[in-house]
Amino acid sequence: MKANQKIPTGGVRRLGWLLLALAVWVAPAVATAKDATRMSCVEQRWGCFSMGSYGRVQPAWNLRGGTGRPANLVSHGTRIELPPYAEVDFYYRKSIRRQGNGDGEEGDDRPPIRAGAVVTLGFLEDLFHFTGDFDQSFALRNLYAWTDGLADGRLMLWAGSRMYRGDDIYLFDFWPLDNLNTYGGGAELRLDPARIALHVGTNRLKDDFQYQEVDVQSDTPEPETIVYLDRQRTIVSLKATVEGHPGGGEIGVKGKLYGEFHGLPSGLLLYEDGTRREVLPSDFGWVLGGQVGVWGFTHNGFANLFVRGAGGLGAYGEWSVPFGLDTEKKTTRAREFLTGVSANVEARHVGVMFGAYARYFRDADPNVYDLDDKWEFIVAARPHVFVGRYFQPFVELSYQKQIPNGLSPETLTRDPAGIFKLAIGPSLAFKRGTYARPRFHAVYNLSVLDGNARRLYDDLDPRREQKVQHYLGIGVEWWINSSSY
Amino acid sequence: MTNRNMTLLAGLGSLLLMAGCISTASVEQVNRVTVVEDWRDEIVYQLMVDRFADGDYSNNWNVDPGHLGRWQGGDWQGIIDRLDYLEELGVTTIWISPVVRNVEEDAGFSGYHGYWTQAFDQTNPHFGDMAKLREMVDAAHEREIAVVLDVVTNHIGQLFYYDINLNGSPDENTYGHFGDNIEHVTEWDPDYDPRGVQAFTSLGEAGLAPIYWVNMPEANRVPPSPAEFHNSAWYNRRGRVISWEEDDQVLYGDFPGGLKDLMTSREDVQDALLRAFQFWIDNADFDGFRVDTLKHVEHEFWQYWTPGIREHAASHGKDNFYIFGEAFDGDDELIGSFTFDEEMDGAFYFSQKFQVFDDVFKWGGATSKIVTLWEAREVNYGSEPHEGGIGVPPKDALVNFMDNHDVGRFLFEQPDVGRLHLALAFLMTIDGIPCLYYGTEQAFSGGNDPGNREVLWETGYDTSGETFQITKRAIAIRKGVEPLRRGDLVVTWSTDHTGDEEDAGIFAFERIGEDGQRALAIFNTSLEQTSSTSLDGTALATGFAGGTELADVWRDVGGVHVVEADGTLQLELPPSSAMILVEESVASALEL
Repeated sequence: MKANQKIPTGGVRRLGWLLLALAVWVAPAVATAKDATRMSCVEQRWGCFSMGSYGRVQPAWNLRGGTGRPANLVSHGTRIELPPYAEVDFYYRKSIRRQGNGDGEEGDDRPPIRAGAVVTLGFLEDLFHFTGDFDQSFALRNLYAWTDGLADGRLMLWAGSRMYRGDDIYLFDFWPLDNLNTYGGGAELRLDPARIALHVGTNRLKDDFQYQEVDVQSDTPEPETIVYLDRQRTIVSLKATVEGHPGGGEIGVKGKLYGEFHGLPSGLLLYEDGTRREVLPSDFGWVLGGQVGVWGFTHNGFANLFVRGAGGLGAYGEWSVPFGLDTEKKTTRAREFLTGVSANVEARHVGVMFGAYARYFRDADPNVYDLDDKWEFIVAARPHVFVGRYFQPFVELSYQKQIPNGLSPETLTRDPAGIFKLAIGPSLAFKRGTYARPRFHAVYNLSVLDGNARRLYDDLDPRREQKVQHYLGIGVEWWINSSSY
Repeated sequence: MTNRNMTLLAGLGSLLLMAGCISTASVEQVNRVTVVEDWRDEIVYQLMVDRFADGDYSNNWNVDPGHLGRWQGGDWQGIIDRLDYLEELGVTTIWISPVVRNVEEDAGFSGYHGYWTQAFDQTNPHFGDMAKLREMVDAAHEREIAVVLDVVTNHIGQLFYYDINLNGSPDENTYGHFGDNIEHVTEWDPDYDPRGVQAFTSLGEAGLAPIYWVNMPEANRVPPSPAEFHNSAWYNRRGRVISWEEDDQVLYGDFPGGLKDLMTSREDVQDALLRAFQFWIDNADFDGFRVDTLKHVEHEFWQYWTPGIREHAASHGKDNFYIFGEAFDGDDELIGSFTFDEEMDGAFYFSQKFQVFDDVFKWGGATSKIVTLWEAREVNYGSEPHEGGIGVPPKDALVNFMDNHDVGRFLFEQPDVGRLHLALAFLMTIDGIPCLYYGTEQAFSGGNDPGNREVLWETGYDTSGETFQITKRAIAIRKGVEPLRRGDLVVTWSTDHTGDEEDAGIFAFERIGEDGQRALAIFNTSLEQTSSTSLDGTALATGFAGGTELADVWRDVGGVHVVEADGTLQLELPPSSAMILVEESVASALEL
């Protein structure tokens, strides 16, 4: 249970408005979202700059005098309960070689070559106007440069720190197949209708699992800090995508095969006494998966099916410090299996977003009846009604369940836990469509927890006694020229 | 929605259905089996869970390898993984250290041993959860290995402090007395006061010091569970024992280390402790209890609690539930006092450990001491089986041991491994129930706590070592020769001689089965001298008929020893050696 997540109230709107204004200001320079190479802006001789943003804020009141908080059993719960988050993107692009455009300088008949850079700042939770604490968690989510148009327009290269993603299940803010946060580089080769993308990256988490600094005696009374343990995880991913419009019709189809390899070298961890060491063995992991998708069958209509299997380090994700290791301190036995669906259909007056996934995770330790080993699933649908041009009230219904392999320490039985949710409210967007953004909304969010779900709260947590948790919230979500959407 | 989407959803639904089909029924319910027919047949192996085997790295919180006062990482999965090792040795019962959740750490030491209870009703996460415990017990039962649980009723861990200066916070160094010499005391563990620990301010004593539970979840020092144990009136609150010679202190004082003494004279406390341990029979199918700190709890408690446990076990189909206790004392009469009036089915034979294993088998003391001690058994220990008990009188169901987790190992003081092997032969041939402390088979030689709590995995669980093989042989002989387990014991030779006399160090007894089958065990406990089973022309008299051919199954040196026509047998034994003689036909049938 993500029990400590909060949906803050208060002055979060100010940041939202600021970012919104920035985004609207640069809107004329904006084109597609995910692929920064396709960013359109009016390019001057020095190139062009533009900005983008994704964000969501939602102050909420829990109708008991407190903060509206999420109630989730699964790894990726409903987006509407997520805490505030915002990204601000800065883009730069310049044509290195222009296609014959008559300016008589660089143009020729070959495909254009362009290069650019993407910088994205991400801000998470704890907004100053809510906490009064002049502190903010932020991170540099993207910092990479790219060049495109090489090899007769077929090759794109990039290097840097990057959110490297495919398609998501919007309702859960979840990328079920290909979602890496990496520090590396890659290439994409376009052989229409296929694209092949290769990426090599690394991470070295600030954790004793991968990195350790220790103080040692120096020539002065002040100790010197040295890096004792330093083992980088290397991640290689390969993605092959085929997409097109069979028969030249409006309906498009997509197929994707995806794989990852994770490798981690061995290392030595020094204990606090400064003499004893622990050997951390080398380890590896893998991910294999695929996706099929179809779009264009209605206005904004699409459907994607994802399947993913992972083992070893790959089962935990690229950022995790693995837990539940085997007696070799490895992740060999760990497995993850996931399948998910994301879809959207729209008609003149109605649009429905849909998402579902089922996931099984097993850690590497030998325990079969283990609370860490579990199935989880969630299914959600969010119909909107398009009333007039802007008014788009919605209802979101969802059900999530967790089925642990282990026995509850309280009841000594195997206790599947479930939560039913209903979210309802008016929303306002400036064009018709479920994905139209920015979207302002008010929401009443209701969660009905079964007894096993409530038992996952600590004895002292007041929510343990609350079969029904609900809140009222107001909020907005936007993406404008975003690197994420 | 398109047909394609519907197909996708159908596929998803199938997967979700699969999710619901995972079967964990085998650990959701407790499997109840009885694996012990007669407890005298059992070979008990005492293991400290934290030290025996680490089978699950994921629960190795706060492990500090090499520092034996702290967690080392052993767990119940480790026991499951090493059942082959135990089976290879011949073990039939394992006695495991306490399973309940403990204080994590206090004064730089960890609660790895299990004797610092915080929650009577929760498993210790260092070792596993209830599912893992059941899995371990089931796995042992599948191999017909019984599992005995170590339980503590006398005290809980260091979970409250005495607010002596009434300032509402625990002080390590407050004033307990003013005068010419200011006395500093710790509010965690103040000295015994028969009135109860007294509060003290600058104006003098201020009545009974209130106690306050601490809330230090980082060390799992939080109020005990279940919540009924929060009642401050349930504790004697007299402070730490400072004199073991005073009965009141022994009964009502806190155990050193601030282990708070429960007021076990109260009926509600007795009932709570009965429920607390019935819980573990209900939930994990244990086959018996090893009870800690017998002498620190009133007889009246045991006379209520022990039958209650027996009755509860029997109501769950466990009608052979063995309850034996630890009175850590050399006083034979005191130990035996807990075996009358429906109290313990058996007890650790500490007096034998000190007077026989230490004095005779370590140091070559007079073997006549053994006879003296054993003769007292008839008086000092219960001679009738308890109602609803194991069907064997306590005097015949004492737990024989040469060392355990509370004393230095046999080899610590006596490093001659030959003496250990001699003691093993004795342990496996005398009446009662033999108990082997883990690591003995690997010739561990650690000193006192925690030096005697070595990690076993450093041996690689080697089964080829000499001591392992000799231990295995001793066990196999006991299992294969029925009179050694259930037969009557008749001492046929003992001596006061420890010098250069002809029979110095000789001790011999026969075990006689119901069908008349006999086994003759002979020991030369002399440290240096080859001695004989004869003195001044009188040879060892046996119950075997003249001309009987006896084989020595212990040394396996071949040949036979023929009993003289008058039933006597004169043999010479090298120092620190033993013979276990059975009829040649019995020996040839043994699988050793």
